[in-house]
Amino acid sequence: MMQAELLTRRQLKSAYVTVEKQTVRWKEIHQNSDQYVNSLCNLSEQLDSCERVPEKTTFLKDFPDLKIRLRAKLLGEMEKMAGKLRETLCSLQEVSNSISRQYAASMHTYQTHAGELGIHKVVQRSATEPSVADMLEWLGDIDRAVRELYLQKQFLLDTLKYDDTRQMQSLHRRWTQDSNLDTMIMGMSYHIIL
Amino acid sequence: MSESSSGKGSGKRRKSSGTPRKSDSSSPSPVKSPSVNYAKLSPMAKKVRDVAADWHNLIQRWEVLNASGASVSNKIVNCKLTNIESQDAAVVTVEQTSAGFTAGAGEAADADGMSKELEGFCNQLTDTYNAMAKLLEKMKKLTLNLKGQWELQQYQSNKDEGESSILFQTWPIQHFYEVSVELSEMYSRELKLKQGISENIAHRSDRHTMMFLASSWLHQPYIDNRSELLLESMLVETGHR
Repeated sequence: MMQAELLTRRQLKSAYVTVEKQTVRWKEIHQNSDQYVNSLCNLSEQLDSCERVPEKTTFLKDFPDLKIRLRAKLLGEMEKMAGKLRETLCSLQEVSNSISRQYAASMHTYQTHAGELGIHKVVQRSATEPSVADMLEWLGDIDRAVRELYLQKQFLLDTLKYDDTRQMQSLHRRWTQDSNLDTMIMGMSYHIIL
Repeated sequence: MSESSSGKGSGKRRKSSGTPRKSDSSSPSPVKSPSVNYAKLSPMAKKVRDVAADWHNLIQRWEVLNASGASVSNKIVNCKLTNIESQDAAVVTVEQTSAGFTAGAGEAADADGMSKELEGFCNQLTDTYNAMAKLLEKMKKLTLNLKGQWELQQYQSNKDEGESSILFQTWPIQHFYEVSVELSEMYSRELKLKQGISENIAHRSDRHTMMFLASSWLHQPYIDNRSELLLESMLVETGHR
């Protein structure tokens, strides 16, 4: 194996090692954020009930400002939870950035040696190793998928409306829909013996 | 203030007083003012310091009770909701089957078991409320204690003028009293709300009202966010933090 191919393959391997580690991290961070999403949903349900208490309830006569006060408290709590989710988002961004860096570094290594490698070497695969071109493409796919997921979550948080009950109730489903990331990365790294 | 003239300070110290419990996870204490020597405080300052520690402990205990009360009130709401649902289901079965009397009997037994469970929860909630009421009594006593100290100081400063009325770093005793009054007012309003909740929660059948009551218990709407600031500044001022 010539020097250029060796270097490119080595870089790709280390990139995949990092990607795998970062995926584990992503999963951990994401699992940890579940509790915040759950309490946000829960709080939104409470807020909804607070809004929908019949005005003529005798109980409220003794506490005329109770509704406003409870609302303020609930919104404060929701704000706290959303803050936690924003922190989560920052950690996810780090993961995404780290994967992007790996992709960029691999592309850079490949481009420096592209002339020397030649198209034949780039697309050549063996029984144990995929071709350089495949590995680069998969890495690019992973990078894009992770970035997209991150942006989806960011959008979700940016468009959050605390008093929109229906939106809040679907938050949990929309926040957790990244299970295909797992299968995708697992499927790809399966081909690569790390 | 001269030490000999403050007769109250030499009285017996209460056991509950002292430093705040270790259980709270406070941030590392800020830099203490070097000008205050906490070992050599005037008796009045020592008393005020104890009162601040007592406030801290009482509020901690209140929070524990509040959490347990909240879980009980949630149980009550769940209990009521499943009860309502099973009643609805029972009505449907009665309508559907011709043998209505057997279903009716089953439902009655169900409701009976439910009401016993519900009663147990309600008793728990009332007990929690009573424990909170006791805490509030203690809080009021602390406020009275500070009021007494303040009056004593006024009396003394009438006798010998020009004495500094600042006990620790910046607060005069009047300020301690005002903070204490504000805190106990918050807690007394909250307690009133708790009383209302504990009396009402089991007698409602509307889902939203019940949820509203349960979340009112949990979030303590009458205790402002300011209360935390008040307590913390009192602790910082007296050198506990």
